[in-house]
Amino acid sequence: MYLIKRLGWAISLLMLGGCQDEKVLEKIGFVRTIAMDTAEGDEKALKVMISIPKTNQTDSIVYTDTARTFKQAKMRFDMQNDRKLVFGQLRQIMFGEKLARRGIWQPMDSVFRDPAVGIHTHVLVSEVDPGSYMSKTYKQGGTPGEYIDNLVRSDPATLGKFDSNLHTFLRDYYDDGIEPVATIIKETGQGLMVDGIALFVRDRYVSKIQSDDAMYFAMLRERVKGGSLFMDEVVTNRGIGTISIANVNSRRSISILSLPDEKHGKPAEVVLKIRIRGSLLEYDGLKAFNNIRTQPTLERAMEQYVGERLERLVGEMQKTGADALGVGIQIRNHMRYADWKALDWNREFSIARINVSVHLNIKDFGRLIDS
Amino acid sequence: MKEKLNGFHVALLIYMIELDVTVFTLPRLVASEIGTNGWLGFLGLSLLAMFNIWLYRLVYKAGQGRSVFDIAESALPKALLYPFYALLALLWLSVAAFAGKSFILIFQTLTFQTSSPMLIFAVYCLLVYALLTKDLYSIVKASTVFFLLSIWMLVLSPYFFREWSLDRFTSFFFEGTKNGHSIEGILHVYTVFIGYELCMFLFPYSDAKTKLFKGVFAGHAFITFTNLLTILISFGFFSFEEVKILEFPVIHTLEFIEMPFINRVENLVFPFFLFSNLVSSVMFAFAALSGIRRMLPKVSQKKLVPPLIAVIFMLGFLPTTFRQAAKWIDISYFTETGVAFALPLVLLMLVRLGKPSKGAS
Repeated sequence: MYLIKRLGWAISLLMLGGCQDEKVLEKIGFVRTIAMDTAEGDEKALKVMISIPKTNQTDSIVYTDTARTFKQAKMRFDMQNDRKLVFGQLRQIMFGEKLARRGIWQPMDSVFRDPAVGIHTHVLVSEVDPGSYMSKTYKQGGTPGEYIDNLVRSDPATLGKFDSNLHTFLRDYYDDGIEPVATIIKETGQGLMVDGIALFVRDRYVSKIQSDDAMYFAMLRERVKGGSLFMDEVVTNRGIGTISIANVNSRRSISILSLPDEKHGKPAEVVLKIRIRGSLLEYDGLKAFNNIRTQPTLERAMEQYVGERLERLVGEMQKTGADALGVGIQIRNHMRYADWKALDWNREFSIARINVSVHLNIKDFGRLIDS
Repeated sequence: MKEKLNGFHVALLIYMIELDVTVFTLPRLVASEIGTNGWLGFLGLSLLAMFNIWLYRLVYKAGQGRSVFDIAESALPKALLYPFYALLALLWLSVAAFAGKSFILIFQTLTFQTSSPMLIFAVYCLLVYALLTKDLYSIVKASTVFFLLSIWMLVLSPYFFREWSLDRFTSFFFEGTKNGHSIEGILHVYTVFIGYELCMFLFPYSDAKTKLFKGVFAGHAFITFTNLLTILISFGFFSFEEVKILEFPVIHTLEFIEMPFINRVENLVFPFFLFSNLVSSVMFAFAALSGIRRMLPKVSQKKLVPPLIAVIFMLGFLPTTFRQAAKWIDISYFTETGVAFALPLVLLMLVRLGKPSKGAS
């Protein structure tokens, strides 16, 4: 009992210690968004913007400055703001396209190094000035920071698969067998939208996956659960039509036919096997397939379509050497350490022979059965 | 001394002593010092520690349950031994101090960034004081409670499963270390086990019923398991090169946990490590106290503890930055590792030397 009493005293004292380092909620400005881009006319400078929601939770205060580094800008913001700036509730870092193409490592490092910043903070790319979103109010409600956060997390096109955050970005950045990706955000008349996926090589933004291809890209990169696919031109022996399948579950496996051999100039040979299963919920112009007997023919035609589309996507990625699929991880795990280290994987990836084999099954056809 | 320890409590105590501030950097050290799939090497090191514990068991058997001080003093004159006691006490006090201070410095990267670390350390010392004035049984009971307060963290581990991939382990073994393999590097990893050697102070508190070494082995096996789990989570959750550059991979993994009603859970979870770190500090201070009481048998424990706590507090002034803390932790833990291996060997020799005189008396 005596011990407990003493511990109680000690713990109360421990808590008293907190009074010395007090942070009053009303006197703190929680930064929600950081946006960074290149500065006009100065190679070394950064244009930094931050947004802090006002207490009414719908408006926000935006500060803009041009500085050498992010932290320098932060200090200048501190001098202007009436509340102390903290980064514990940071939701996203947006990079302008120009900066992203030049390389984002320096600003990324200075944000990530701060232990206050959470690793769920989204990493986003914007093709226009990222600061332009921050001062607006959107119909979807909340501050732009909240809106973007919810949008990227739930984005139905990719099921939030690419809520690319600091953790996933840095993990893939440091991994030598895969390259990081980030979500691209753009403004439409009705609000903001996910405009595709930015592919990086190390810290440089090199190419873009269009938003229509995002789901296909997701199937190439990892396992998908509950996605939806739209196929615009499925060619069959009885005509051309569009098909939509929903509730798509897919699995990806990579089999390696041959490892890259730089000495003999032989590229790697890889087959990406994608297994897809989903509900066919819309097919237009293909009514000839409206009975169960002919469904397998339709499945083969869809496999053909998906396979070609995926191979085109892989081809696009190979042009820039951005292995966002993680083929390199599988290649690495089949090689000897010294051989892998001697290999320039980005180059090998761009010349590798990558085939895609698709296996697609229609699980059901929705409410209508056309027998 | 009628009450004897229970093997189960001994296991929990050993677990809590071994779990200290060194665990936060463990995955990074394993990655940068042992390399890819370093968890295998970690298991090897755990076996080495098992061997070390086995040596203590030999001492226990050969000494027939006598305390280590009795063994030493039956073979050598006290005048010769006292300087050693003093040196060891100082070493143990510094281990206690540096483990505590380092913990506070790490703690401050998350919360109380601008408070004086010595103020927090003073409160920490107060907690050590509160426990140290009690007898060993109370410490053991408290550590059992602390164990329950921190063990629930294991249930957080499935949270990482969906972001975890075996592919990130790579198929290489012990490659990609920072600067090759060095004894110093391996020793760095080994320091995570430091603490089991304190089982030698439990000799007088145990009898045949205690199953002392069953408890010690079980505690060590359990901490090996939880540490291994920590390493495996980090290795599959981060990419290999990333583990190598993260200062505290364990805190970083905790950061990933996010619940619908709360995020940044690490701020809540991290303080629970305080308890296990506290037990480490208390037990090392207890070891020092045992040594000093042996030298000054006439002074009561109540009078001895305050100066000891004062020494711990003063030693806490030495590390003020991460770099210094790491340096002092290295110096004290490396020495302690050496002591942990040397002591049972010396004691075994002393048992041999001491036997005839014991037979005579």
